[in-house]
Amino acid sequence: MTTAVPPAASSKRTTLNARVEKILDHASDTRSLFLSLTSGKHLRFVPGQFISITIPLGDETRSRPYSIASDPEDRGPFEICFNRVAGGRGVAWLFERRVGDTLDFSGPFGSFTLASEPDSEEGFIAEGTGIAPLRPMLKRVLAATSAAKIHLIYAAPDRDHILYAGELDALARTAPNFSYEPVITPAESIYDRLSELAQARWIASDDDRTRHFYICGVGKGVLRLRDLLRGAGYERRAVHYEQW
Amino acid sequence: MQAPILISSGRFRGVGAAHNLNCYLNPMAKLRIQFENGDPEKVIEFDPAKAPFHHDGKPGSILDVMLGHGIHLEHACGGNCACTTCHVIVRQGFNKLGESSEQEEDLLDRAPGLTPTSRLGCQAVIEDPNAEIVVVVPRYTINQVSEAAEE
Repeated sequence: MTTAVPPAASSKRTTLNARVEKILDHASDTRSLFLSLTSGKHLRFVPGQFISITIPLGDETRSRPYSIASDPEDRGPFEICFNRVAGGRGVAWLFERRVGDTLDFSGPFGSFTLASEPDSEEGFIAEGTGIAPLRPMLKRVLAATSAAKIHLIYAAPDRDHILYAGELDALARTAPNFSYEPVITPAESIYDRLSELAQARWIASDDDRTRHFYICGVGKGVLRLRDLLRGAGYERRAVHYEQW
Repeated sequence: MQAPILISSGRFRGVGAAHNLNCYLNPMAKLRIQFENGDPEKVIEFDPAKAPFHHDGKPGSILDVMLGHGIHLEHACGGNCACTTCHVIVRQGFNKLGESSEQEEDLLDRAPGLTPTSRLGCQAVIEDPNAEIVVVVPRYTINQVSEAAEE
């Protein structure tokens, strides 16, 4: 298959510079940085995309991706959200940033974005910080439609790690087509639980296979969810996912 | 046309008869890289058994080999099969590469300029020490809005 070649863009990386405007700790190991471009301009991005941050490690630098958790319609700083991981030197560097520090990044990048305006139910499934790209996608899809049902299943090992809980609760109260199911379950069984819930809600309950899905989280469990839904008859291209 | 730049690694190559004997006893894989943006072609000779050459992408992947020999290939997600910025088009040796996963195929579906022999550089592993692979680095990436990322 060959698709039309888009307008040529430079293959050289365009580096942007951002300043840390605000730090928000969701939990002891989970943090958001609010960033604004030092140029004073506004970053354009599509809900679901990520930026690639240049992280200095000793004598070299590495690029590491961080999803944008905020809504492009918000004109203020944009937000990235991350948590500590064992041996994660890049994220450790991010935890050391303070308000006023600057960092280099490129992007935005990524094709984990909304496919089109929904004409049937859309299922969102997130684990932990996997809510980050889904958050602006949910806002965008709810602004676009009040007809299609939108359901979010969001799992974390405890309440502190259900991020944006107040906002999601408020959204479920005000948007009649949106429902939200926080799931608290031990870390080691998160994907077992998510698979059970997806099976019950979107596979065993009816024969409708027109739904679209957006899944984001850490590890191979994301691929298990993908395989579960595709294996149950959903179109390959209707099951979108981003595995970290 | 400019002559390709040859980059070799892995072991002493020798000259003349010693070189020929060394190649016979210890074959080296060859990765020829062409750039759509007009940069000079580069050729890397390497021993796949020596992978990894760098820290991003699958060990022995096109991305790993290129970065480990000082040749830049975009990899915005860190070489973790989460974007398409390391998209390359394989001109020769497509069947010599390790098989693609469903995840790679899903991402390639959304790569601009997709061809039947497209691969993600971070996932396409060269294991065969006799492989001669030719790839083209496209001019563009999936960085859909970076050219106008600020407004």
